Amino acid sequence: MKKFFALLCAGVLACSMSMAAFAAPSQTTGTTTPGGNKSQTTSTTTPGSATGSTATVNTNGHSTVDSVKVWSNIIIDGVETSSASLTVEALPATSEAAIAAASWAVANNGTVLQMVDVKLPATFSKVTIPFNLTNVMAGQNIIVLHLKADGQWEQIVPDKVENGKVTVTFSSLSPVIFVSLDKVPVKAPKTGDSNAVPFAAATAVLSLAGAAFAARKFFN
Amino acid sequence: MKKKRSVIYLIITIVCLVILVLAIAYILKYYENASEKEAMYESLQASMAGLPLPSPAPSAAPTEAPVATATPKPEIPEDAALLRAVDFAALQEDTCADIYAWISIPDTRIDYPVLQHPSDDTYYLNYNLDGSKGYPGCIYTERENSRDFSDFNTVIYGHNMKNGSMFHDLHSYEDESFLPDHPYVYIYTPDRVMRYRIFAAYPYDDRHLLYSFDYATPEGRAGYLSEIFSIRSMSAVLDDQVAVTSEDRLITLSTCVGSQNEKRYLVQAVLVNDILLSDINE
Repeated sequence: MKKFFALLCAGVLACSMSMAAFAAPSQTTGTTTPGGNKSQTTSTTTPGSATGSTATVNTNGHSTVDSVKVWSNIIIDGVETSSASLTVEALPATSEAAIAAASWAVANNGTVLQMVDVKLPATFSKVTIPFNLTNVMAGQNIIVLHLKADGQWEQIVPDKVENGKVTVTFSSLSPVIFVSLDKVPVKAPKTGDSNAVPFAAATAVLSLAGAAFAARKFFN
Repeated sequence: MKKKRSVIYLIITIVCLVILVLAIAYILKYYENASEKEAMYESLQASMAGLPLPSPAPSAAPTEAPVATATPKPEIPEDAALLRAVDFAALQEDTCADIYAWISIPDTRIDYPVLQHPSDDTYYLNYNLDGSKGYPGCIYTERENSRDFSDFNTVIYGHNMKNGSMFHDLHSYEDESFLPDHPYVYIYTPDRVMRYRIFAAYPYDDRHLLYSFDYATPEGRAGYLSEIFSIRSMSAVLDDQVAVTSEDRLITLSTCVGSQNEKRYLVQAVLVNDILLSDINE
């Protein structure tokens, strides 16, 4: 019996020595903590260019680094204009809107791409705005959430989703949230070699020892 | 009582022997599979080596004055590794249609075709050139990157195989003395050859590089480069003598760090020579 325990202990010791430490490694680099807030910047768009406002928002546990700008050619009630002063402001990731959007997105397996407050100091019944969203791909399944005056969120299907560009028509303006319903990977692929050869080798050694011990007992 | 004990010992012996046989069979199967895949890659590398190399442009002065409107040809550096022939038509027809480039780092085992699956980004993480599932997979890029390496950052993935194949040799750059002697990565495509100069090699977290940074704007790209050069880590090797700007084109070679699932080892290089094969052949 003593021999058996000695053998077992030796096996356990051998296995434990071949295992990696489970202590969490120190962070090497990077300033973004997934789930944490990133800095936010706001500015005003100058129609006629796509270099106006930028907004960086991080929500929903994803470190989505993105920016929202507005392309030229806003269409107000069917009339194309390039001089309207449209304001796009980033919404704080902790705002009610953010929480609502994040909850909706999580419930629907989506990812919040951007949350912005769009303001247009003009009266209109319909306005079509082409937003420049980096990283959005043509054909991507995007839904736009819009907070109406009565406090209800409505879902708007964009008119068009192109590479880096989402065109949406609104009947009123207020906080707008872009949600991707396609799953966007947030982690790099795991490229380790996690084969079970070391485990199989340890199992082979232990089973050999066990077989030898049991066979000896059997023949004695 | 003694007979009952004997039966128990007999059962234990049989069970242990069965486990032993299964474990040995698994190990043998793993190594057989690994050597089969390795042989396949070696055979591809050998078949490429046997192809006639494109001849460099003559160094003698041209007999006729060049036409004033002609586009100036890029200078072709004297580098034997550039003159590498890869028969993409044969590779795509005989081996795999998703092969679109070839990557090589001299003096390492990194000398592989690069693939991109048309609909599933993780396919070649788990599948081999011959369509079989399992290690070592392939060297591949995701659809977010174009196949002509025109993006600001093209991320190329490969497994860190324990047998030293695929992207395992990237870890050679952990040794500071390795970079000065092996500064280039070569990418071959059907119509061009590109030489990249390595400027950074470091362990990083596991965030997805293509979806975590803004490469669409010059400010975003500059910010990303600034983050790379601000890395302060004992295991990071940075060559700040290599000029890298937000207008450059980078490749990032990404592999894992041992058993640390939450880390990746990245080797980053900037495009320094982009040569059309037609320019070499003329």
